[in-house]
Amino acid sequence: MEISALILLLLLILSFAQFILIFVLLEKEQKPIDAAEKRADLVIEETQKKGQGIVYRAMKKAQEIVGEAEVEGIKTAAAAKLRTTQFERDYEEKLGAAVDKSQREIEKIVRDNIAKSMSGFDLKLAEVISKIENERLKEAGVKSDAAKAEIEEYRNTRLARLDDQIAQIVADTVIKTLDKKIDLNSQMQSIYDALERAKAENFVS
Amino acid sequence: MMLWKEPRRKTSSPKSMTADGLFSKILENNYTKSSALAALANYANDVNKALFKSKDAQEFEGLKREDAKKIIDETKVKIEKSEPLFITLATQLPDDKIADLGAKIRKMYGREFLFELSVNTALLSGAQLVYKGRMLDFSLKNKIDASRPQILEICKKYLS
Repeated sequence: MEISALILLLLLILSFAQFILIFVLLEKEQKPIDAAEKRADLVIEETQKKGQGIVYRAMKKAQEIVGEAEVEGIKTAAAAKLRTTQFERDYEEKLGAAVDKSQREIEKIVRDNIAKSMSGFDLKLAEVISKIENERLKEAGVKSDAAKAEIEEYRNTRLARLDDQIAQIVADTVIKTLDKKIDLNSQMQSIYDALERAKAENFVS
Repeated sequence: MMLWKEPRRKTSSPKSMTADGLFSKILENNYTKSSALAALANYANDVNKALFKSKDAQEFEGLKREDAKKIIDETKVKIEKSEPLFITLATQLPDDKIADLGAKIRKMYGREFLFELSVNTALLSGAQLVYKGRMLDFSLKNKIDASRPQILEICKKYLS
């Protein structure tokens, strides 16, 4: 065996011995700590038990208070609701009556005003219609008169033109008939007659 | 239409011509104002030929060389100043009938009376006379026009 191996083995043994020593020492100190822990655990346990009892009672009391409060609140709310409902009913009735009354009054006022306005309007409308009617009649009369005058004028013009045409036809017929028949001597005689008549009227003086 | 008729030449020495004399002479065969003026123009032409184209001629039909222009001008003024009777006829008359008409008119109104003739065939017959702005219508057309209402009445009766 080599020295280094021997040294290593010695070191191992030494370490093991140290470990055991530390363990023994620790075991000696651990014993009083455990006893104190046990006492403390007991105290804690008792305290916990006492605390739990107090909390339980407090909770119970609180629950009772809350329950009472709830009951009281429900009662109050119910009473309030009852009062509100009554108030609403009353209010609704009064309001309904007021609304009905107002409505009736408004309807009456409106009806009266409409009736008054309509009677005035009817009168004015009748006046306007009458006025328009008169104007239209007058206008129609004027137009009718103008149309009659125009028709009369047109008729007269047409008749005059027709007369002219008839006269022209007669004259043309006379010309065509007489032109060949009036000889020179007849023409001369008619000229002399004209001159004689002019002299008789002292035309040339 | 006869405008100027050559006057008969007298063998004896004629009297001196005056404007009135020439006027009567021109109107002798001319009845209208226009024909009288045309005749005077022809006469003036003859005078010009006779007196002013020959140095020897001193007189032409009683018209002395020195008085010729003056007398012709005076005659022209006299013709132009005369108031003619405007006669509108229905037909054109031949010269002989115009002469007959002229003779008739001059018998009625004097031998120096002038008239003017025009033609409007629409008159059919008779004459329209205008003198100094007044008019008389003795035409057949005027008679027809005057009878127009009666004619139209007859036509309307016939048509209806």
